[in-house]
Amino acid sequence: MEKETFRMVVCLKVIHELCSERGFDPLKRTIDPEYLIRRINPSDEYSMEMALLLKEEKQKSGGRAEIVALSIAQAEDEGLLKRCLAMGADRAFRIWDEGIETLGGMAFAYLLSAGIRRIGGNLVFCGQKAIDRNGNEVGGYLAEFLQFPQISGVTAIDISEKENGFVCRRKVERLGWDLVETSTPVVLTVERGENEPRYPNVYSILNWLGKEIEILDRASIGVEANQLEEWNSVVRIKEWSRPKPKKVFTPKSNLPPEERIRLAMTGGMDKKKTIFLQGETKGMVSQMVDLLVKQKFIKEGGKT
Amino acid sequence: MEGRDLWIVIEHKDGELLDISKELCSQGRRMKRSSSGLVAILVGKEIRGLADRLGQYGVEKVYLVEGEEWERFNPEALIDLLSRIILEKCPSAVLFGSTSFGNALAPRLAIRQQGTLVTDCIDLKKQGEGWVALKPVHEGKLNLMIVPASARLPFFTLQPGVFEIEEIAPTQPIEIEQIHHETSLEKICTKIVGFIKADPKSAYLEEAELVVAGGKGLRDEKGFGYLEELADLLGATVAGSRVAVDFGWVPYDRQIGLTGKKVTPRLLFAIGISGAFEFTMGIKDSKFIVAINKDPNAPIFKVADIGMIGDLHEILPRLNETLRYIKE
Amino acid sequence: MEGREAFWNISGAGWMYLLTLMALLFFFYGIHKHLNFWRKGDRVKDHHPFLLRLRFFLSQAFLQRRIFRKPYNGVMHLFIFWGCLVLFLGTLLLAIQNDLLGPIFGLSFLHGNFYMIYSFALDLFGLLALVGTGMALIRRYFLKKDLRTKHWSDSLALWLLFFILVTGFAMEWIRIGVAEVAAERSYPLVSQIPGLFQGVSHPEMLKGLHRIFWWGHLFLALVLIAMIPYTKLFHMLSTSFLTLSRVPESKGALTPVFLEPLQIKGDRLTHLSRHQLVGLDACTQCQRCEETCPVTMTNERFSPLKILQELRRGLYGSKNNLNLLKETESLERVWECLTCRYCEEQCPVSLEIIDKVIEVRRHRVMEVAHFPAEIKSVFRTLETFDDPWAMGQSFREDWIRGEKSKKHLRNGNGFLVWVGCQSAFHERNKRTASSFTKLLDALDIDYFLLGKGEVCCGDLARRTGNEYLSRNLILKNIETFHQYGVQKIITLCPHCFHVIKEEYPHWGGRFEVMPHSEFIAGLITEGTLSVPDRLDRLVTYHDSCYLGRYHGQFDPPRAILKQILKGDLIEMDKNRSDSLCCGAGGGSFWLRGNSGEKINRGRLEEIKAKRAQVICTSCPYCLVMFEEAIRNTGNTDLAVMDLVEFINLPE
Repeated sequence: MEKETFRMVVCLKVIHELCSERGFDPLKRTIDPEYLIRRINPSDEYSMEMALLLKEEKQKSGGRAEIVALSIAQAEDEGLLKRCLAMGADRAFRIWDEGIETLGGMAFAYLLSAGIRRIGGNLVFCGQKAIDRNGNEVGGYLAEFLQFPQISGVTAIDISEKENGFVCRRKVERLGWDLVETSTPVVLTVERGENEPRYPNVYSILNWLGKEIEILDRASIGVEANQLEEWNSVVRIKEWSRPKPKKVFTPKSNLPPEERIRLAMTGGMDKKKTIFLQGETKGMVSQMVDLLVKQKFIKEGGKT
Repeated sequence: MEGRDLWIVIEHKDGELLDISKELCSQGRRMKRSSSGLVAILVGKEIRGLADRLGQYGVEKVYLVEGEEWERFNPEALIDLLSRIILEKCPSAVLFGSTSFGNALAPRLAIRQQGTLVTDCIDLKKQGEGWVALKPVHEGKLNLMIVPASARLPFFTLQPGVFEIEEIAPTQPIEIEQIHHETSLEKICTKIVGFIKADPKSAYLEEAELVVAGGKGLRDEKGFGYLEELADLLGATVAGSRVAVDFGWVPYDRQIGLTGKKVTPRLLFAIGISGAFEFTMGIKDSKFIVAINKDPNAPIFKVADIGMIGDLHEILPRLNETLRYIKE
Repeated sequence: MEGREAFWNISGAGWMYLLTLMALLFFFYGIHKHLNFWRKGDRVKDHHPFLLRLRFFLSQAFLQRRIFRKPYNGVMHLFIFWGCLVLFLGTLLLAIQNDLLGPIFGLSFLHGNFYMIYSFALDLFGLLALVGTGMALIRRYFLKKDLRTKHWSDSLALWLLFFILVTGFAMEWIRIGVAEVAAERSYPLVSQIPGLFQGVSHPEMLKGLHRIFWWGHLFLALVLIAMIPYTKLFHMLSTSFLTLSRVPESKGALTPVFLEPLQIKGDRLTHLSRHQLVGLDACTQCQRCEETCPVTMTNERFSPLKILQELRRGLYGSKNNLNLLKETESLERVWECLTCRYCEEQCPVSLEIIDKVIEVRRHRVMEVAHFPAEIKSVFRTLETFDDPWAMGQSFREDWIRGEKSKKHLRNGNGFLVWVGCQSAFHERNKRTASSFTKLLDALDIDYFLLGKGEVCCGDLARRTGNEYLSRNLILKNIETFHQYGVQKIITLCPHCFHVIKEEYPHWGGRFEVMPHSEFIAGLITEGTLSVPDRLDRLVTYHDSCYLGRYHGQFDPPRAILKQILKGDLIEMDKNRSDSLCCGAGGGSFWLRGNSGEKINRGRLEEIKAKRAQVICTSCPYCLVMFEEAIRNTGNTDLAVMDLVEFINLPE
C-alpha cells in the first residue's frame, strides 16, 4: 500500500513589531527603528507546532510527513528563522532577490505560491495575520494562487481515516469551533493554536545553526520581475498616522505654545490622564453607563 | 464607476442580522454616490424575512440565494457563488465585515476577480474615482492609510464595532432578486463534520475583547459574584489578579500579570485591584481600562482611562442594576 | 623496660593475617566500585593550589567547626573521630613494629617512656571514643528516634564500634591484670585495675575470656573495616577526598557549558565532573540541609538531600548521563530551589549542592526541553526582547528623569552604573535607580549609564539552566563593555553583581565590580558622604542571599545604616549568613506555583515580631517581594526601602 504523505510547508514571516507608540514621529510620519523588534510572527510559531504535532501523529499511524519551512527573508534574518526551525522542521527555504524588500500582500502571496509549487507542498500552513501589517489576507491569496481549498482560523488538527485526510478545528468567533474534514491539498491559516509552541532542545538549535537554508531567487521559482511589480502595485500605501485619542485631550495652558500644539496634534498620547468620575455612587454609575454606551461597549435594548 | 452598485455581503445567525452587517449597510449608505445603489447579498436558509429588514439600514436591493445547502458556512461554495454574481452584475465595490466569515471570503475573491483588497478598515471614504481606507497596524498602535488601485475592483473588510449604525425609514420597498445557483458538490473539498460550542466565559483570555478582572478588593465570594454578573451583562470574560487565583475565585488560566497572561481587550475592568507592576504589565496593551478601587492612591489609576474611587460593593450592584435595566 | 607483648595468650595468630587479608579484599573491592563511579565524571583542568586544598582539608577534618553548629553532635563526632583516629594509629604503630621493623631490622620502639605516653594516649582517646559512641547510641535510640535517614547498617556500625571498644578495654585490663606486667601496672589510668584482679582465683578463666575477647575484637574490627565502603562510614574517605581535591567555589560561580566556540563537549550538554560525583558520594544524609532549607520548610516534598540522593542513586549504576535518570518526585521539584545557598552553608562537609541542582535544570532545559511553562515564557521573552519583562530595550531609559541625568547616557566618563532589568523596568525599582543617580549627581561623581545598550545580565538564564541563551546575552554585554572601555562597574542588583563579577570572566569579561551598597559604604568611610542621624525609626536590614551568603557582604550595608539611623539597627535572629531568602531567587520570582511567597510571608512575620517599622533591602527582588507580601497581608504599617533610598531621605 502506497504510504500516505503529508508534504507540509510552514510559511514563516519575519515581522518588525512596533513595541510602543512612542516610536512613531507624528510630525515626520516615520517609525524609529529602535522601537522595532524583529521576531517571527507568533501565529507562525503556532503553525509550526501544529505541523509538528500532525507529523508525529501521521508517523505514528504509519504514514509519512515532512515539514519544510518557507520564508521571504534576507540573510540577517536567518538567525531568527533557524531558532524557529529548531522546533523540528526538516528543511527550509528562503526566497530573496532584488526588489523584494517591500512587497504588498498579493505580491507576497504570489512569490510564496511560486515557492510552494517549486517545493511541492500539499499541506500549507500560513499565519492569519502578521502583527506589523495586519493583512489578514495572504492565506486567502495563497490558496487562490495555488488553487487549493482553504480553511481559516484553524486552532488544531488531527488525522482522520480518509486517505491523506485530517480534521481541523476552525474557530467561529465567540461561538465555538467547527470540525472540518478535508484532505490534501489544502491551505490552512492559523491565528492561534491550542498548543503552545514547543521549546527546542539545544541540540536541535545547534544542529540548525550549522545547517543551510536554501536560497531561492526569482528565477528559480519562475517569477518575472514585471509579474511581481504588477501584483505589488495593487494597493498604494500612503502614510502612517496616530490613532485617534479615546477622549479629548486639552493641553495644559501653562505649557509653551509649541508644546501645546504638538500635544494637540499627537492627541496627547504621551501622558495618559485618568478621568475620575465624580459624585455619589449613583452619579458615578450613570456616568459610567453613559460612557459605556457612547464608546459602544454595550447597546441599549440588546447585547453587544 | 458611475451607476454601479456598492455591495454588502451580509452576515447573519439564527435568523438575526449580526451587528456588523448593520454597520456595513449604514456605512455603505453614507459612502455611496446617489447614482449608485446599495445592494446586499444575502445567502442562507429561510432568510427572506431578513431581506425585508435590510431596508431599515439603507439597502435598496437584495440578491437573495436561499436553500438548504446554504445553512452551514461553506466558504468554497460561497466564493464560487459570489464570484459568479460579481462577474454578472459588476459592482463598484464589495464590502465585508472583518470577521472570520468575511476574511475567509474576501481575499480569494479579490484574486479571482483580479481586484484589490484592504482589510480591517476603520475608516473608508470615496475620493474622486477611487477610495481611501484607513486601517490599524501594529496591534492598533498606528493607523495606515491605503489607496487601492482605481482600475481594479476594490474589496474591503471593515472592522466591527467602529461604524455607526443608522436606521432610516425606507422611502421605497426593498427590491429582492432571487438568484439560483447550483454548486457542484465535487468542487467542495471541505466538509463540516461537527461543532464544538464555546463557553464565552472560558474563552482564551489573550483573545478576549472584553475582560472583567477582580482582585483583593472583592474580599469574598459575594463580591466576586457582582463581578461575575457584570461580566455576564457585558458579555465579557472573567479574569483575576494573582490574589484572586490564590483565593480560588478564578482558575490559574484566568490570571493576568507577570506569572499569568497578557491581555489586549477593547475594554478592561480592573475591580478591587491595586495595580502593582506585576499586574499592570499584563494589561498595558488594553485599549480602554476602567478601574474601581477605594484607595485614591492605588497605582492602577496611573494606567486607567476611567477611574471610580469608591467601594466596589456599592458600585457594582448599582452598575449591574443599571445595565440590566437599559438592556431591557 | 618491656613493651607490650604481642599475641600474649593468643595462639593461632597466623589466622589474624588471613582474616585481615580477606577483610581488606572486601574493603578494596568496595573502594574500587566507588572509584569507578567517580571516574565516570569529567576531569577538571584547573585545580586550586595543593597547599590551599591541604589547608582546607585540615581545617575541615580536624577542626570540624561546622559540625559544632549542633553542639551535642559536634562533641559526639569529635570524640569518636579523634578516639578512633588515635586508636587506629596506635594499632598501626604496633603493626609496624611487630610486622615490619621488628622482623626486618630488629627494631622496636614501643617501650619505656614512649610506651607509657603511647599507652596513656590510647587509653584516654579510647575512653573518649567510648563516650562518643555512647552519646551516638543515646541519640539514635532516645533523642532522635524518628530519624528518617536511618539504615540498619548505621546501627550495626555503631554497635560494632561500641563492642570493639569495650572488648578492647576488657582485653587490656585482663592482660594487665593477669599477665602481671609490673611496669604497665603503674601507668596512669591503669594502676587501679590490678586492684580489681587482686586475689583472682581463676586466672585460667580470665585467660579464656581474654582469648574470646581478642578474637571477637579482631572479628568485629575486621567486619567494620570491610563494611566501610558499603555504608555511611565511607564518608571518612569520601569527604577527605572531596576536600583535598577541590576547594568549593565559595563564590558560587557556575561552570559554563558553552565557551567562546559554540561546541558541545563530548556529545553531551550536561556533565558532572569527578569532583561532583565524589560530592554525591560524600553526603552522609545528616539532614542539616533539609532542616534549614526555606523551601523544605514550606514544601516537604522538596529537599536538597533528596535531590542529591536521587542523583546518586540514578547515576550510580549507569554512565554519567543525566538522560538515564528516572523522573522522580524530588527531581521534578528541582525548579523550587531558590539557589539561596543556605544548604551549602550548613553542610558539615561543605558539599556544593546548588551546582548539581542547576545541572539537572540544564539537562531539563537544554537536552530534553521539559520544564515549567512559565520558564518557557521567560526564555521566549528573553530571546525576543532581551529582558524578562517583554518591554524591549527602547524602554530602558524611562526611569531617567531630568536632562542632567540624561547627559550621563553612554558618555563613557567615569565608572559604569549597571542598572539591570529590575531597576530599569519595574515601577517600584525605578526609584532605586533614580535615587542612586541622584546621589551621584549631588556628590558630583562622574559615572555613565548604558541605557538602551544594556541587555539582561544573564543571571536568570544561567540559574534556570539555559546556557545557550545566557551565553548570547553575556557575550553581547561583554562586547558593549569593551566598546565603551569599561573597567569599573557599580551594580544595583546583587544578581547582576554576582554574574558579572564571577561568571563573565569565563567569557573574557574581567571587570572591577562592586554592589552599590559597598560603593556607598566606601563613600562614607572616605568622608565624601555624611548622613548622620537622618532617620529615627525602627529599621531592620534583610541580608540578600546573593550579597550575603554568596559574597560575604554583610558589613557595608550595616555600616551605612549605622550612620543614618538615630537609634540602633534591629537585627533579626536569622541574619547575616543565616538570613532567610526572600523567596525570589533561582527563577522562583517568575514561577507561579513556587513556595517563594510563603517563604516571604514567613520572613515578614519574623520582621513583625521584632517590631520593625521599616525593612531595608539591598536587592530589587527582595524589595518587590516584600512590597507584595506587605500589600497582600495588609501590613500597611510596614514599609520597605532600598538602602540608597534611605540616604536620599530629606533631613
